Order: sequence, then structure tokens, then C-alpha cells
Amino acid sequence: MTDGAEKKLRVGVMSFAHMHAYSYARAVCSLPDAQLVGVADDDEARGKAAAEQYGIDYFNDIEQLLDSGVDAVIVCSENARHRDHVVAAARAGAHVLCEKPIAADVCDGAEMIEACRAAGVVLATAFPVRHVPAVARTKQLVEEGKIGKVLAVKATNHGRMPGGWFIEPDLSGGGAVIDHTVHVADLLRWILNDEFKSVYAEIDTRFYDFDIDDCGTLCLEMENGVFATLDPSWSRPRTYPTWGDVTMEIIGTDGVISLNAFAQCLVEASDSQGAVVYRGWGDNSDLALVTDFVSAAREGRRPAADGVDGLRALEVALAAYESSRLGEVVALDKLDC
Amino acid sequence: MHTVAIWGAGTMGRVHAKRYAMTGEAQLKYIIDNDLEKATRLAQPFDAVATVDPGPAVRDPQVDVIDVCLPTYLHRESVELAAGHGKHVFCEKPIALTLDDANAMISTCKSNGVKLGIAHVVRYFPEYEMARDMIASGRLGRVGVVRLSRTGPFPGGWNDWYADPQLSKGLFVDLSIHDFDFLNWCFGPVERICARKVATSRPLEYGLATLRMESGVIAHVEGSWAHPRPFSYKFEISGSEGMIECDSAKTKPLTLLTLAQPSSDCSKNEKAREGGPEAGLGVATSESPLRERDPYLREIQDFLAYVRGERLPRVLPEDAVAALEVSLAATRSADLGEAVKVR
Repeated sequence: MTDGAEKKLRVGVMSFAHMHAYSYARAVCSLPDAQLVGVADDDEARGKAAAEQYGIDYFNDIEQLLDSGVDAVIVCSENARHRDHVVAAARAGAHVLCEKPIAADVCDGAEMIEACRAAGVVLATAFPVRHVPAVARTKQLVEEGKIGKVLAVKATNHGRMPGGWFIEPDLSGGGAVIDHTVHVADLLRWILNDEFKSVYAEIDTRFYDFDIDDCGTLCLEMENGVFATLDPSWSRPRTYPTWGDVTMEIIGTDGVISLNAFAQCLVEASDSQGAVVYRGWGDNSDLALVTDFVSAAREGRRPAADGVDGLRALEVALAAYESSRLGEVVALDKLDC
Repeated sequence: MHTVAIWGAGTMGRVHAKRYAMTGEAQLKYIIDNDLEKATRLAQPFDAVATVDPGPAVRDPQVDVIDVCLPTYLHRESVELAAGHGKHVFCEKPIALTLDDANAMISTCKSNGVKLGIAHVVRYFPEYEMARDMIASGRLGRVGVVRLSRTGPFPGGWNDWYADPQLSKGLFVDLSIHDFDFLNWCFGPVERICARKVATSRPLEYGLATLRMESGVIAHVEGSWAHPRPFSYKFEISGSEGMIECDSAKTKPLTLLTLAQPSSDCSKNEKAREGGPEAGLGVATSESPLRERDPYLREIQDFLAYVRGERLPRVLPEDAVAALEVSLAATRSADLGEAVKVR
């Protein structure tokens, strides 16, 4: 046996633009079989601060990071930059965990999937909600037929308006709908073992004074006839006790499953902070996501959610925008890949 | 003092009867029901006359209000009979099953010079009232998304009429109409709807509607007769300056917990005594009692004041028609699988 340290997966971070990068980086640091080695970030101050925080190298160019000998990268750049970063990583032979949505554009997503396939590297999409134990248990209950045949799902993925590049269309590809449709779209496909057939959506900008969508409601239909609605709105005020939610009410012929994925929290009332805040005490789903990615990369196996899963979820969000523009139900056009 | 006849001794008839007595402004003189035993049971505590025939009540000159708590498909004929005899009519929601029936009822009441009230009681629920006031005051800023929900088990009714799609028109018409009416009340007319629904019969019915108001507000309505647990309702209203949420399951100030009734099944009792898996199984009943803010009391007080000519009621018959129009559009959308315009 070789020295354990020799076998560690060397992981780099491509951009800390998306705040989830910090949680993923922490997760890598806590794993015995992975090592966080470097960061490339076009925002030098942000990249250097992160490098210092985690005791790793900073590069102002992604090629330098890739040349430094990484086995895998976590891409947390702005949505529209995912393609360039993921394709470059694949060409350098690095496995990729890509933040959701997989891209801002379907063609970009397909190109990323193809590049990773050609290079023989793992492409994982960051869908941490799949790793929440209550969500995994929901899938199990549905598959065991505990509520009979599923008929309908009412879902939400509310959040706060994140600001920054999230509200710059050129970088994000869209607002609340692209940001918060993909998690639940992925869960619906995963839990129901089914694909989307059609989407209808009402989308608007009603909370903030800017030109990107901040609210909406989607009405979805699956291939097997199950219908669902999803509210992806950035409707949580800054003073709301928590960032948002992921909830599902699943109606079956024999019963109902009520899921509130982040209900495991305590309520803190703090005079010093002038706020009431929910503090989660449940399992760390980001850690589970990164753990799965690292082992998939080491074993060369399929991760929990791969690039195609990421693309399918993106297609739903983009079809929602199209439906809202047309004012009618849109059939889902699934890219062959 | 008003003299009232209640037509229909089912759940809502019982609820209304008690409230008329509480107003101190009305006396119950008749309880009409084709099941004489049911009518008698309800009539007794109020010293009212139980009858299967509406004739004596509608012909009694002392009676000025007839309260119709019959299944929806019987609303038109009973309201028109009462109005034809010069009686004011307070009628349960939905006003009717079709817009034609509803409009005919309104014009019959008008031509007979009697007042018609429709029991859209949600407008009198204090939490919905408070929400509407907050919206109107501008505290929430520009409202973006409104989420409304009403869930419970499949309802039982006389001859199981809810389970017959011809007689009840399903849950968008019977149940979600409360939420459609609330949307109209707060935000004006609905422009378009995209709805989906399963079944219109036992053992369950479930529907989800996505709506766009003419004012631009986006709304979502869940109606369920698929939840095997106590009835509950919820709303969440978010705006540019804040949001409010309410869940009836979390606002019940009182819960009664009782230990399991002794069962004839000895093995279960045995397990209970041993503290096994059957132990501690009991029944929980929650309630949210109100005194002067009781919504059923206030809708009746409001209607009686309208009858006396003191004020217009919060719910006009035209509001009930508008809500029905949305319910029918939602049903149409679900049938077609397309988004539809309400008008």
C-alpha cells in the first residue's frame, strides 16, 4: 500500500463567485481522501482571501490552476462562465463538480457533457438537496408505494434575492426562475423516475426594481401524467428567519407525503442581532454532495447527479421562460445527449 | 327581530342556526329538511318547527329570511321559491353550478324586491380580513406572489352529492372558490389561469391552479380533498416590502388530547397495557374558538343589517358570480390542459 497522502484527490476551486464554493471547500478540507490545493479566481481579492483562508495556492488564471496538477475541480463561477471553465478542466483531464444551474444555455450544457465524456472525466452537477436525508427518505417512501400511485406534487423553492451577478442577465442567464427551478426539477425527475413533458409559467419582476425576474410559478407535467407546481420566487424578505425553503406535498392514491427539507432547525431570538433566526441542525448536505463527488472521481463512477441531470433541470427552467413569453403551455424539447 | 327559516339541516345548517340564535336579532321558526328526524334534532333546542315541506315557511308572513344550506344543485330552485314569496335569502356558497343559474337567481331576487346574500365566509375570517387590510394599507409594498391552500379529506354529504361531478362540479367550484373569492376581493379580477386536477369523485380529488391577476399579481391555489387529516387552510402573501403567512394548523390555541378508547380488540388492549406499539394511541382535536370575531356570526350579522337596509354587505351576489366564474375557468383549464382567459 502506498502512503495515504499520496492517494488523496487533489481538488481545485474555479472561482468563488457562487457563495456555495465556501461550503464545498470546507467539505473538501474535512475529507480524509481529498485535499484542497488551489483556487483560480478572476476576482483577485476574493481569490487571494479564499486561498489564505484555506491555506492553498491562488492563481489568477484557470490554466495555471489546471497545470498545477489537480485531479478534480469545483466550478463555482457565474452561470454563463461554467462552459469555459468546465471544458478547460475536462481537456486538462480533471473531474468536475459544477454548481447549478449547469449553464445558462442548453447548448453550453451539452458541450460540457460532451467534453467530459470525451476526456473520460466525471461531470457532477451540484444538487445537494438530493443528499438531504428527508429527501432521500421521500424517494424511498414513494418507491415503496407508501402513498400508492403518485398523482400530483406541490413544490416550493423560495429564497432571498441574492444580488450581485445573480441579477446580471449576461452572467446568470436569468433570475429567480433559473436559480430556483433546477433543484426541484431535479428532485421531481429523481423521486418520480420520470421526465418532464410540458411547462407553463407565470414569471415577473415584482419585488425589486431591476430588469430580471424575481418571482414566478410553474405548472409542470411529467411524461406519465403526474402534474406539479413549483414556486421558485425570491420572495423571502431579508428579515425572514431563514434563507428560504425546499418543500413538497406529494399526493398519491393512498396518501400524502409532506416534505419540508430544512425543517430541522432551532429558533434563535437574538437581541444583539435584532432578529429571529432559524439555525439548522440537520445533516450537512453539501458535505454529502462533495463526499459523493470525490468518491465518484476516485472510482471513475457516475456521481449522484451527473451532467445530463443538470441539463434536464436547466431545460425546464428555460422552457418556463419561453412559456411565460408565449403565454401558453410549452412542450419540453429534450436535447439528445 | 328577524324570523328565520333554515332550509337544510346538514353541517352548514347547524352552523348557521347556532349563529342566528347568537345574534340576538333573529328567531329561528322553521328547520326544513327532507329528513324529518334531522330537522327535528336541529329544531328542538331553538323551539323551531321541523318540517319536510318548505311551504309553511315560505308562506308564513312572519318569516322574513330563508337561509338556504342545501347542496349547490338545489340552490337555484330553492332561492327562487323563497324569493317568489317575498323572502330575503341567505344562500350557502357556491351561489350555483352555472353562471346562468347564478344570474337568474340574482334577477329573480331583484324583481321580487328581496335581498340575496351568499355565504362566502372566508371574507369574515379574521386572519384573511387582517391580511386584506395589510395588503390594502400598502405595508407589504407591491404584492408579487400569493399562495393559498385549502386541504382536507373528501367531504361527506347528503346522498354523497359531492362525489357526483354533475351535482358538485368538483373541488375548484366547491372548495377553491373560497380562495378565488379572496383573490378577487384583494386584487380584483383574474386574467388567466392554468390549472391541473385529478378526479372528481371518491376517494379523492386534488387540484392546483396558477393564476395571473389583471393587476399583475401571480397567485397559486391548492385545493385538496386528498388529505387524510383534519381540514386546514394556509396562505402566504409576499410583497416588495414584506410578507405574511398563516397556517390554520399552527394557529389553533387549544388541543384536546384523549387516551385511546377501550377497544373490543383484546390483543390491542393487551399491547397498550404492555406499553407496546399500540400504547398511547389517542385522539387529538384542535380548535380555534372565537367570540365576537366568529366569522359565521359576522357574515349573518352583516346580511341581517343588509336586510334592514343599514348597509351593503361585504359579499354582494355579483362577487359570488365572479368567484364562480374563476372556479369554472380553472375547471375548464384543467379539462383542456391549457391556460385559459377567465373572461
